[in-house]
Amino acid sequence: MSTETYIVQAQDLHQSYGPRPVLHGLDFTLSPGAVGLLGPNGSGKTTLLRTLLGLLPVEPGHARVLGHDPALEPLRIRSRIGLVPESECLVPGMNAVELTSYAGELSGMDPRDAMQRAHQVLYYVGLGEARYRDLGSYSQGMKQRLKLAQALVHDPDLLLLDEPTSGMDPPGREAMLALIRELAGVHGISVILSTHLLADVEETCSSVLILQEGRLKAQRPVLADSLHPHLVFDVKGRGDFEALGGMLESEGHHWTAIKGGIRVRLREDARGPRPILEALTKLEGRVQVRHLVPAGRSVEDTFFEVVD
Amino acid sequence: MPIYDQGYARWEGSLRRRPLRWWPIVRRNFPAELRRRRTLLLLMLAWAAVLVQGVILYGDLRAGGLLRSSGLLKGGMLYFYQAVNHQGPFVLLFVLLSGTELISRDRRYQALQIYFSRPLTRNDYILGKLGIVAAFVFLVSWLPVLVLWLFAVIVSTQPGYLASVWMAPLSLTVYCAVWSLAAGLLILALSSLARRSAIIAVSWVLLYGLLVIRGVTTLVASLTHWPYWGALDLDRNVKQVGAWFFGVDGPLDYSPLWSLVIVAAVVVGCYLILRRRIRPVEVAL
Amino acid sequence: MNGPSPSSRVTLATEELSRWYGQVIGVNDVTVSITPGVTGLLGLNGAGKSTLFKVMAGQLTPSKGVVRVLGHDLFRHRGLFRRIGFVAEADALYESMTGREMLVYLTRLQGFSRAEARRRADAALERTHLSDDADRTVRGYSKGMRQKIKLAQALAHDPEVFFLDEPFNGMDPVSRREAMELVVRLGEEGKTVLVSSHILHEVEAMTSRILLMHRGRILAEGDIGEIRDAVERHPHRIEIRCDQPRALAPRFIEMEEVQGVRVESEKILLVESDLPREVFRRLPHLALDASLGIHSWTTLDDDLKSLFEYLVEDGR
Repeated sequence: MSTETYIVQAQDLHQSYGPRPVLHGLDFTLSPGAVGLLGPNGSGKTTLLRTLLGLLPVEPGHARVLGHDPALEPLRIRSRIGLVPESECLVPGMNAVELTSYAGELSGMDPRDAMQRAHQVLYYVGLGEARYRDLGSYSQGMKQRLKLAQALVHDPDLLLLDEPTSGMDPPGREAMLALIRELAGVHGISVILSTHLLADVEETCSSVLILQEGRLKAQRPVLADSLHPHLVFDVKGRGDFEALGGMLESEGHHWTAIKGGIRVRLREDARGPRPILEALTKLEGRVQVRHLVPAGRSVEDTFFEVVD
Repeated sequence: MPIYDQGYARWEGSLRRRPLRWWPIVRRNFPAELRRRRTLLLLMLAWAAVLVQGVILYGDLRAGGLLRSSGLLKGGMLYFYQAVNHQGPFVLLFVLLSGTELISRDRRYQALQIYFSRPLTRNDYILGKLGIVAAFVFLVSWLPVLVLWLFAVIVSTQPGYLASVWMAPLSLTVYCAVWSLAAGLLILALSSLARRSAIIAVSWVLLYGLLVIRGVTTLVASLTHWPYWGALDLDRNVKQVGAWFFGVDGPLDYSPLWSLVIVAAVVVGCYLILRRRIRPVEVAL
Repeated sequence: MNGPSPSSRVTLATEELSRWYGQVIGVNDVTVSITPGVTGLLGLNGAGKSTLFKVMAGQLTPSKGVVRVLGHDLFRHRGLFRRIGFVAEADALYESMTGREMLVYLTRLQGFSRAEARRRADAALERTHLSDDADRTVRGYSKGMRQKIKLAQALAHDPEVFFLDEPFNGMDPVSRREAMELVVRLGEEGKTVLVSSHILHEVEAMTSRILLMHRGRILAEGDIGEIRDAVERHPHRIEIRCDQPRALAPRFIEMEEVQGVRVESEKILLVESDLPREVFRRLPHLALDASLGIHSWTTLDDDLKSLFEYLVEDGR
């Protein structure tokens, strides 16, 4: 465990379904923490996750997951991974406690440990009160939580999450993301989050891996450095931002409209937002600036930058 | 006064690397099925049937008591072979009840990923599911007939009786194992192919060689005087193999070796179907 | 665009609309007036959004109340149905048809000739970026493609009023962006679009006008910013990055509108205010004072996410 500096390593990783190649030689390493796996449909995200789980044949020597080669020791890998699949995965006739402890036993836990742990993780994901209820009465959000519980029961070192917030309403989604953040940040469980919701990645992950058509398009930290800390600012709030933009333009600065305000690119000789502040004092009463921050690159910016 | 964190806690225990990875599947699903009222009722019936056999045996022994022998036990191994076969209908019923939905339901509810995202292979999964069916087969045939054998050995005063039937438990075990394997794998294969339980159940009854096939093969075999038509009847081939283990004559007029080959072919075929239909890749990420 | 300005004309309205299922109430006494453009319909799962959509789109009859589409009672003028485009949350499609066949079929049901239906189907496929996959059977469609074909189906007969229930659900980021752009464009074309999504920042990106449902009722209606300012119970929290928060703090404490000031870290000062207008007026001036070293500021709960939380919590 201590020698594992990387959670996942891939070297020239290929994969194909029959004659159709899906992954074209991926090279990357993932350090412990939370990483978002992004890509349009057909980008190979699912195939990559299946390959890492050792469910698809690969030649030895091209990947290591938690220190093991999925080609050689898929079962060892899977005993330390928790999977939250996108689709429902309920075993009919079982309630949440039964299902979760069953999952634990399948992972090789002693039945008593599995039962004890099932109660613990169900409380953790917020299903404590509902753990004996019929799964048929579960809402979409509760099912998502249950999927997380069954993936946590054996205390994995790596969680694979596939669209974990799908169908959840805003508070449910927040709660799920908070759990994921906590698991990765506080409890040291690494996370690979595969999703179409770029915001989910932004709110939970420290880096992103972007695939397109089976190729690695980018691997970057989420908190990308500012575009330019002294020159480019996002100015947002209420009021007539076009007037603000116009005034700055007349002084030789550039601006573009963004959601709720404008993005200003100051002249090269500017050092900090002073020109903006000066314009604001002149426009007093017409513009109320609620946000004035150095513009950063969001996950969405990164995504659409590299995906064509 | 310590305040304990009620949040997520890492688990300090260790996972067992047991070779019996399939065991939890049986351990958890068999009792669940057993708790159902329907199952319990049928189980009572199945055991009652053996009880009746025991009572008849006892009556027979008492009637022929003076002769120090029983008509029923004279056949030696044959008596127990027939006793197992008498349980046949229950075996079939329980295979149907326990097996029909075993895989189709997992597929319908996309539960396969619960299994294959964990340290389990396809064989573990198949073995676990087969174990559930086999447990029922053993519960309604092997267990009661074994008790019957014990009873017979105890009450029989015939000299040398034990020596003549000491092999019975072993034959019984092997017979029940073959029975579970053939009937179980067939229903599992069908359960992996079809979605609707009715279709699975009907096609199993047909393919296992009951009703239609039984009638047709018997009729054609007697008309053409060619016993090999019986090859199509899986049930009777299994019984033929069973008879071989018991050292008695089976229901078909050809060598039990052929039956063994047929049963083995079906088992291998079903296994291959299962391997094809149950693909861990279906883990629907 | 000619004619009356989009915001002046009510194209979609309900009056005391209710719908129950047996004893369960889905929509409870909803009266709203919606003008052309995009309006976001928000709410928790089970708040009644889907029921409201179905009743407004004429798929369910109301238990009580009236739905007015383009000024007329929907359930008395069946012809209005052709002027409605509906993307339902449920995923019931003709699985064995190709996307194009299904679309032509559904468009013909609206009363168009075969040739016209074809033309319209092609145009709708184009608009939803589905042309390349139009000749595959629907069964093989991905979740995102299924959503797109539903969107195309709502577009094909060129209606004036759109009801889109979670239309982006399951789409990948590229399709999402395309579909969101399409929705915005429909609004700009003067169509009335009511759209729901759980992804609040997506709603924010499409419109500033929302309708918030809670437990079958309308909890808030109107412009996001105006609604936020009307929420008095939760003061605005302004996070200021500066060199010396302790030196800056007194400058805010002295303002009457400021309830609290908190040194979050050696670089961050948090200011709480019920009426932040004065704070925002003064901030640029303070920032110009180099001795205070203000680098940037941001208002923490000035987004739809916080607004949603506040309203739904208070509505409990």
